[in-house]
Amino acid sequence: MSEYVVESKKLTKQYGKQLALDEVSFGIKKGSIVGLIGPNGAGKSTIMKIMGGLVFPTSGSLEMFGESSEKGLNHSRSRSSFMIETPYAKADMSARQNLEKQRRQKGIPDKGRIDEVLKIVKLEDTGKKEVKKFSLGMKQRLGIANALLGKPELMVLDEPINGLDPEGIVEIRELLKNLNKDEKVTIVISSHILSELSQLCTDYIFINHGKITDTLTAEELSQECSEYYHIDTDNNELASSILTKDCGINKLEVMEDGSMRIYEGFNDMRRISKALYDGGVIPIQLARNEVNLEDYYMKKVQADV
Amino acid sequence: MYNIIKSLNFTNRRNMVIVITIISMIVMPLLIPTAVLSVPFKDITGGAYLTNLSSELFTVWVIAIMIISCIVASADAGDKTLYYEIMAGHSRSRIFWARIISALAWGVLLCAATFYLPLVYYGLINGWPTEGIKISDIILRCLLSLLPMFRIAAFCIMVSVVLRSAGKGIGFSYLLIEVEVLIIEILHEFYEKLDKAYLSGMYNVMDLLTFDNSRNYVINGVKVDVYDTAVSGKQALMTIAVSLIIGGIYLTAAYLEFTKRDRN
Repeated sequence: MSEYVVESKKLTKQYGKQLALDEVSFGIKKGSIVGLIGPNGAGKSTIMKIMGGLVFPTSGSLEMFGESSEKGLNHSRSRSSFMIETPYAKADMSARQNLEKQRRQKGIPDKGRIDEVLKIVKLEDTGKKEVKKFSLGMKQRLGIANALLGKPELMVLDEPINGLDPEGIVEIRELLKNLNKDEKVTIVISSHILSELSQLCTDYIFINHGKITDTLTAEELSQECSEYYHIDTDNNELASSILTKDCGINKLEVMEDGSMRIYEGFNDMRRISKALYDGGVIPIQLARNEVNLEDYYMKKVQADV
Repeated sequence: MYNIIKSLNFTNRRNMVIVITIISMIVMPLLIPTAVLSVPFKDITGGAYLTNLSSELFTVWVIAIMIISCIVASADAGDKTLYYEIMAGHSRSRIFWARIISALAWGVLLCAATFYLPLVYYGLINGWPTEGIKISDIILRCLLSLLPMFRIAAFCIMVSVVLRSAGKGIGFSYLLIEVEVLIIEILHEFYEKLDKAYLSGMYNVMDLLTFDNSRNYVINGVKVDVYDTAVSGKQALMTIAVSLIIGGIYLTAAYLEFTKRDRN
């Protein structure tokens, strides 16, 4: 049996002349938390919509829980939950009524499940308040409650923390982590808040212009995201020359604003500082940093451009 | 499919537009004859409601059928809560037929029930004295009228499914039915022999509620209306065949739109 919960092969989607997905192949391992990362219009939502059955692929194949036929995929979807784009709800009904509608539709016999999920997302006190009076964050919580209703094995979440306050973001992050750890729920998540994804995901899929540009695990990312010293001086051109010629630094990157990053010589910073000073350069900033997911993503995007 | 119908019923019962429409349909047959048509309340017997008023009132019921069938079929497409049914793993075919069953039950059976309800209460209050009205004929006409009502509902469902919105569905259905009526009337001006009863669902219902060969007699100084309520074989067969074929075409078009196109 395949190790993947979801596997796509050469998945392509064309809207008229526009190619939204171009032969996308990927696999999502059971128990992983996969971050789908890419700019707007990259194809993230299209992948999620094909998984959810909202959009038909033009060509290629999709397998979920080992099933690829239409009937099989529908069965797989019943084991999954999706929150794509915005969390949809009946505006003139309360949170509880919206969940009751979904409970009936999904055929969940346990009425108590509604109270459980409302408590999890902290909407248990909203009473008869209509959803149209909810804040964006509350609507987002309701969408997550809806996704949790059927105790899914796979959750596909498009921008789930959009509109949440900082406290809400932490709560949802912890909730997803716990679901993944305790219930072994596989999670596919897209977000523009990359710092959040980096605290959550075990795997990353980078997508741009409808193509997968990179896939890597959290371990691989941490290797890519090496430490560096950020150096800014009153004369960066001269500093760069001193660093390479006098200090023997080979791994040096000059940034757009002229400042530099060096990726070696961390134990030799005293000598490097002295060399700069002796060379007539006054360091303005000398700080130890780490390349994070955002930096990695920006590099990827710039490389694609 | 049963789960989707249950979920739709849960929503429909809480939809204020549907609730207000149903209440209006119950109240209107009590108000319109006396307030609008100036018919004294005591003169509206069960038979009089059927023979003189029902065909006039049906134009209002067409709007009720439009509103309810469009909302039941497509309100969830408008606010996109329909997506949850697809993403929950229900096949599109099942989702569609669940909606059709629910829309027809609410839009046709419920509307028909409220439309014929005044027969009962006017009959109980003011009696049923009109001569010549056979109950078996009336039951047959009522049952036959369900078919053109189905045709009207199927048309509205198709429009709302294509437009993916209940509101737009109601508006465009109303517009298109008005245009249809206008065209039929113009055609009828030029070709008087044209039988317009089967060209539109609305005319078909009105035809079933119109009693030809009716006569007035004065017997012992009392005016008596005598009606011929019999349904001709042609009328019954044409109503069944045309309604099922045209309604079927509308639903097939809606089915293809619903099951074959992306949901973005």
